Amino acid sequence: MTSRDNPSELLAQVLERPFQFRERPVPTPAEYRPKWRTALVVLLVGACYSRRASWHQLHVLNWACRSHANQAAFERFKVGEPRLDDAVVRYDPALDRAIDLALFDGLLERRSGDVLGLSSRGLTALNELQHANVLVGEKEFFARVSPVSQTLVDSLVPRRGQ
Amino acid sequence: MSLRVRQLRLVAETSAGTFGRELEFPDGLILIRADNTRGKSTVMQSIIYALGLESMVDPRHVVPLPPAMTDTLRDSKDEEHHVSESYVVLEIENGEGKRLTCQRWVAHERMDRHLIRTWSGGALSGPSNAYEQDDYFVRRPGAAVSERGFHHMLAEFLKWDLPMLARDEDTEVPLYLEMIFPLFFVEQKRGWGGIQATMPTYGIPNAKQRAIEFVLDLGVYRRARERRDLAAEIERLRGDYRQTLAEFRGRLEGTGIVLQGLDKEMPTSWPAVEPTLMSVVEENRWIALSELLQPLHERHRSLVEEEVPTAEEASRELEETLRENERLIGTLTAAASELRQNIELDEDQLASLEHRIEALEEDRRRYRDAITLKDLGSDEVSILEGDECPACHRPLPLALIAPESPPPMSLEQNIDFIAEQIRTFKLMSSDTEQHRDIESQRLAALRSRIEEVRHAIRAARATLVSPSKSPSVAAVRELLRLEDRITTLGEINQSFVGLLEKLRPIIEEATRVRARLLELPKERLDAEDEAKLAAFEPRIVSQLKDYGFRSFSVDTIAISRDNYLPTREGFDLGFVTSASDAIRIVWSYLLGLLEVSRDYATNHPGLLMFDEPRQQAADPVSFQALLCRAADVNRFGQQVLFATSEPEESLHEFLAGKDYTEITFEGFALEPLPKT
Repeated sequence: MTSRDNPSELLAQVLERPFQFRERPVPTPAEYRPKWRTALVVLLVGACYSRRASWHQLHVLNWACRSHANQAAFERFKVGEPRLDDAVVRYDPALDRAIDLALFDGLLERRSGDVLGLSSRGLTALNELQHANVLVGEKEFFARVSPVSQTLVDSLVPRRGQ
Repeated sequence: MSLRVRQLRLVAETSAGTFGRELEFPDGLILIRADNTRGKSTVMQSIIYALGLESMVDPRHVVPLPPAMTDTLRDSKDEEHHVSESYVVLEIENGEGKRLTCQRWVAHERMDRHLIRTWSGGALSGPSNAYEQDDYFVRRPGAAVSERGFHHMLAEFLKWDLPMLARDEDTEVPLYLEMIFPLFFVEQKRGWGGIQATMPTYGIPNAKQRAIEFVLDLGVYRRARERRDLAAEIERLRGDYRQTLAEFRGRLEGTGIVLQGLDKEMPTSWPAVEPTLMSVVEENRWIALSELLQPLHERHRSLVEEEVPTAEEASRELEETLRENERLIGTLTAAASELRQNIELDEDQLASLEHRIEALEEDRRRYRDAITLKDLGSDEVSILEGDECPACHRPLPLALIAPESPPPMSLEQNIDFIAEQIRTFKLMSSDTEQHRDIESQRLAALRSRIEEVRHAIRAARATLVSPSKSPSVAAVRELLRLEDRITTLGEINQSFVGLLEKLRPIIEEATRVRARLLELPKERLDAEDEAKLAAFEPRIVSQLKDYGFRSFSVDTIAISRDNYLPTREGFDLGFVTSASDAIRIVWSYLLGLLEVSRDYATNHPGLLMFDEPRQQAADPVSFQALLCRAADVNRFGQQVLFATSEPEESLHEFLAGKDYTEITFEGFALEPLPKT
């Protein structure tokens, strides 16, 4: 009788050898990938008035472009026809990290207060992104709604103290 | 497949009168010699310009001609004159001896540079009013495919059947003439950098190989094309199948009949188990429609044969049936409501699967973007270059927000994972859909059964209260109802036979097409292709020997079977040769192509034009060898134009005893023309 026919012997054989456990990598949504989201940040700022955006503006616009439902809700709001059941704006901590990366990467510059603007490098990247075959759906959405002003965003989600 | 340039006229109108030049080109080796390098290049470039091919030299939209043609002309006394109007006229001849004259303006107030005017004959060599005059456009979108496009017309004139190339998944473009001509024309400034050095590719993958395949008329392209056509044919048949089947399924809706044995997608062969129509009977028992029909026919026959019973005769049996039917209606209604719930569950499941698949598709699209962003070099989109964190200079994290462990998947792993999920969910979705459809048919059958039982109950009640001698309403009703049902089912059965008659040839045709697809040779190159390449190889090697190629032993040179360029032990020659040897390779490759066309059927036009082939790098000995070899074309009725500034005496000495035509002009290409 071979070990193949004898389960306990087979098990013993397997256990005799050294073996290791390895963590299997887990899937992550693409929007959490640094390059993708940093590229999106460049487009977000590019979609705002004068290519400058406050932290607040970036978060609202980031929420707006995340899904078709959000996009539609934002567009309804922009033309002054919001629905009662339209989704609630959510803040996304991943965006803050992408903004930091974009700042360190020299794509964004701090203007006054919490306002961020595109640096000359950022403007070049924006131009390149506009022409490259990437983030097509997002670009189409921004083309429909831009430029997005601070006033519009404030009226959608008032900042604290307002 | 042949092209000869026959006559060229350059004209520039200035305030000091008309300047110009007229040249004739016979067959054989033609040397256009001038000390002034600009003059002879003007002649060469004018030919290219007249044919609307200047983008093969320079992709920008600029006229490749000197200021004397475009702007300001300097005469022999060194005086400058403004050019008010200028144009080139070229007369060419095709393989059938037909002539075509093309005029293109360089400077003109009204005539657009995108316009080429043609005459259907030799308007320069034999002016006549009988030629048809036509205007075509060039260097505009569509010039290669539109009826009014000059290159479309030129390709027809040359009897070239231009292949269509896939630019990407959706777009097909023709092999543009600008991609073919660099194999016959070498421009002096950048053309000698290598084989097809100045060829534009317009983003078409493997454009250079496709051009060589076309010129050599290799079967490899035709087979690739055939493969694509066959695949498209299968796709068309699949569409026919889907549509025919969908139409039939539409007919079945609400009948309680289900088609078994034919998938929504076309199978590769006719199903081993003959497709059948199944009908649900009672609770959950399915029988073939044919089996269902038979007892119905029998019952019908016996009802017709028997005399219709009176109400009294039928009453005993009817009371029994009435009680049974009243019980049955309760059971059936309960079953129907359960089925409805099941169908609703399926609908919910389908909606949530659809939602899930949509979200995954969106994520996959973003992943594709992420991969594109990663792959784009720094010369395109420069965001977070080098995958390094710009703040701490450590490798970028794989995700902006993720627990330390387990680590996130790599982009590629993740996109594969998403694809796998989409596949699974789609499978689940199609299973659910199928289940829902069958349950719907069951529900439909159940409903019509409930309806039937209700009618039977009503008929039984009516019979029981009717006068005892009158005929039984229930029996009459059953007969009518039976006839109705037999007709409906018979019609469905008929159209099912029709369906099978339609589908069988579609599947059989697809099987035949698939077999033809499999029969296509697996090897890229067939015997004839190999023969051409095998004849091409020694012609390159022998020329390189003659021209004094020094970089390494020429016997190790072979033609790559992938890109058809000369290689040495599998490596491209471009990187391992000296500048002068690189020029020798271009000479021998292009002349070799011309030579191969003498013995094999190719698309080569039998014309070669070299602008200043000597260049500084090649020594006189090699140049002499090139001239002598090129002088061979006289024997084959081909045409080779060399523009050179080699001294006249050297040329005479080099080509002693050989036939050739020499066109020498002193001074400028354009000279004052007598007033007409």
